[in-house]
Amino acid sequence: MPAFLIRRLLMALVTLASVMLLTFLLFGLTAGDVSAQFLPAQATRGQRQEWLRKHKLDLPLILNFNRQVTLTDRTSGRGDFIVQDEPGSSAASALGLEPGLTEGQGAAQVTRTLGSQGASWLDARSPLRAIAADRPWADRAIKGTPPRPAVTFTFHDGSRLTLDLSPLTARAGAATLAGGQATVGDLLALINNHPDNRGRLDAGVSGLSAAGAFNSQFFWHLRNTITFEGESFKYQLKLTDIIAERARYSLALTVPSLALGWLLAMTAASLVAYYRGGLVDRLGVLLCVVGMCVPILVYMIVGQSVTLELAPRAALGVTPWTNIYVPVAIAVAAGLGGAVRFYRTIMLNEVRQDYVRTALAKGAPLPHVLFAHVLKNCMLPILTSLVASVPFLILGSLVIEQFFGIPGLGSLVRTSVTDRDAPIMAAITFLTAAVYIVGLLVTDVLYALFDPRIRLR
Amino acid sequence: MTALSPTTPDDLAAPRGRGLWADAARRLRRDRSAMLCLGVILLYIGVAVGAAAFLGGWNESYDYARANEDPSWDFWLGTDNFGRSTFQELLLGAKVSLTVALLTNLIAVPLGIALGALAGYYGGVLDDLIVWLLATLAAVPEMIRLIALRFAFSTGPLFGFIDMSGVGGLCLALAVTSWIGTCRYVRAETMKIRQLDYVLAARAIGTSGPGILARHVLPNVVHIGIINFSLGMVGAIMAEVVLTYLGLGLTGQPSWGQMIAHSQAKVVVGQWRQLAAATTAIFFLVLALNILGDRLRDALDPRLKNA
Repeated sequence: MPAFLIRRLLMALVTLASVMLLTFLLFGLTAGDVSAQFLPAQATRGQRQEWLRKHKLDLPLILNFNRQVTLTDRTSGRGDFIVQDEPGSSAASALGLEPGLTEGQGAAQVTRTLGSQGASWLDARSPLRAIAADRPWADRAIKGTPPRPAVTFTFHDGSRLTLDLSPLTARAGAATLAGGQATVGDLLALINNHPDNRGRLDAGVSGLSAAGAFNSQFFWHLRNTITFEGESFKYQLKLTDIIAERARYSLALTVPSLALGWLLAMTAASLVAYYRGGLVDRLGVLLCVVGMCVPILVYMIVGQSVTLELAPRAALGVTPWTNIYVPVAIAVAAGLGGAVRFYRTIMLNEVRQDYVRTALAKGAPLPHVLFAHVLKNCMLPILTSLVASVPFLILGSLVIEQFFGIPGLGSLVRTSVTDRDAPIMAAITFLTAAVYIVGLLVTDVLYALFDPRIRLR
Repeated sequence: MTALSPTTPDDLAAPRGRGLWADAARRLRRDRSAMLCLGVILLYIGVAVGAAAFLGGWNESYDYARANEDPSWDFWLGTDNFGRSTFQELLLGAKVSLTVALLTNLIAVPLGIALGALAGYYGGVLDDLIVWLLATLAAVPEMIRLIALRFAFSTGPLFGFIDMSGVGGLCLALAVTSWIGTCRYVRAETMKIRQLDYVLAARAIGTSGPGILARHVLPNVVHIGIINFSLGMVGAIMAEVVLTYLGLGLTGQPSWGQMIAHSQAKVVVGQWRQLAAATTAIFFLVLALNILGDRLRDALDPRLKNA
């Protein structure tokens, strides 16, 4: 038994990992640069870079072997340093250094990187264009003085260093573009050999590190999937908060409709199986087939318009709370046909077994045989079908929620589709898959515990 | 010439029984409801082809003077907000539903049979790989899987250059969702067939793996595909309606999905004809496909023959 449990658990973990791979393929890899859909049309390149960096979309896809130009504060070995443009200069942001402290930088971080992503081939001979944005380094002319690309560093110990970067620009002193013939090595030399520096600021090209290699879109996707901490493209809320808030509504809808639907379907199926071959059976099967041939949307549209006639306030939204009965009733009605037919098939399969004939032959009354013997043996396949509906406990019936204005997870799917909000879609996909996998795991273990016919191999 | 003809080898051979297919065809031909259903499906296909050929101008046939009319001789089912004939829209809608249903299963069923037969026959790493793929896809609940695929396909060109937002992408998403059932069933069946004496005999006389697959395995699993084709069409037609409602369907051409999905607001103000028309059309098509699928199962699945 322990060996079976461990094996089954490992299988579930492999499947979970594969689903993560699948969500990465579907939501991370295929999309490309989606920043244009979430930023205003007049957004600058810097704002786009900022957005991509915030959502980790500027990182390499699978593994990060990129080298970057780094600046290290040698005065303390702890704490961050502050970068500020001199008046008229925009060199700091052109180099990818946001002025001031950026959020989320801990005290341990003493290194700041230049340029947004770097590249695997980056070294001292690379052109400066590789790390600097292709725009003016000094564009705000101050009255009387020509624009000058200059940056001031304020170190942890309070001392300052001002660097004039104009030797690196194509035409010294003017408001020129970055690039020209300057290389990364020129920038490193300018910083490290500056007479005022005295070893306080150390510029260099970072090497490869094992930890740095995992700083990629794929590994961030894995991390965000497991922790549900991915950030919506559209909203500023955390996924965990969104899901916790919305799952309540979904549960209020799905738990009653699943329970009620199951009870009704089982009763109807038992009845139909009891009268098998007779008029009730044929009529029941006919009704089931008719019910299955009508799209679920039609149930909702008709149900809603009938509700509008009878009690207009109950047709939309969740205030008052009792409105939930209408979608519950519709969900039950829409699912009944298929469920009854399914349970009837299972029951009829069981009715043909030898033990039923034996029980009847020894004189046991038919209802007793049906409900005490047959129903008990039908429980396993019925339980399996119930597990299959477990993900929808959380997710809710996505169409019905949207339709009746219930702010559950199902309508979140629709909203995310409209908003093209990939992180939320990825999280929901993973969540439902995870719930399903766990459900299957539990059923398998329960089967193995309770059904002696299943051998633990 | 003697009265007694000499015994030919043909007479010595065992009496020729009907094969599975001939037998199934005979049973189906005798089955009135199956033939009726087949007739209904062919009628729908005919309507779809005919409507696409003759009613192409419907999309632009605006006539605001005759908007929202009741049924008349000119417009059998009345008109919509733009004065376009609802009856023509209904006929045109058959094209999308049937294209989606047929194309989806033309992708899904062969894919399911091929991968299922390969996995079941060869086993080993190939089997593990295909089962892993099955398990991964099946772990995501069906509707979410469909939405996720369609979402990824319609975000933009796939990997920057493959456009998946049209009917091909929709059918591929549906196919990736529906091939799993066929594949599982075919794989299980192939694993049983592989153990049978005639396959062992074929292997013993040196028939190659692909040869056995083509001659001995495939003919014995194709019926699963045929049954699932019919039932898979039902799934695709129903899924098209839901996807259209979620904004992930096809746009720019009339479809039953759109007629139903856009009815939510219209029914409230008393315009229920589009809803009723599309529902009725779907109802009879799906009913025919369901019954045909059941009859095909009865006719083709030997184990259920005597049940």
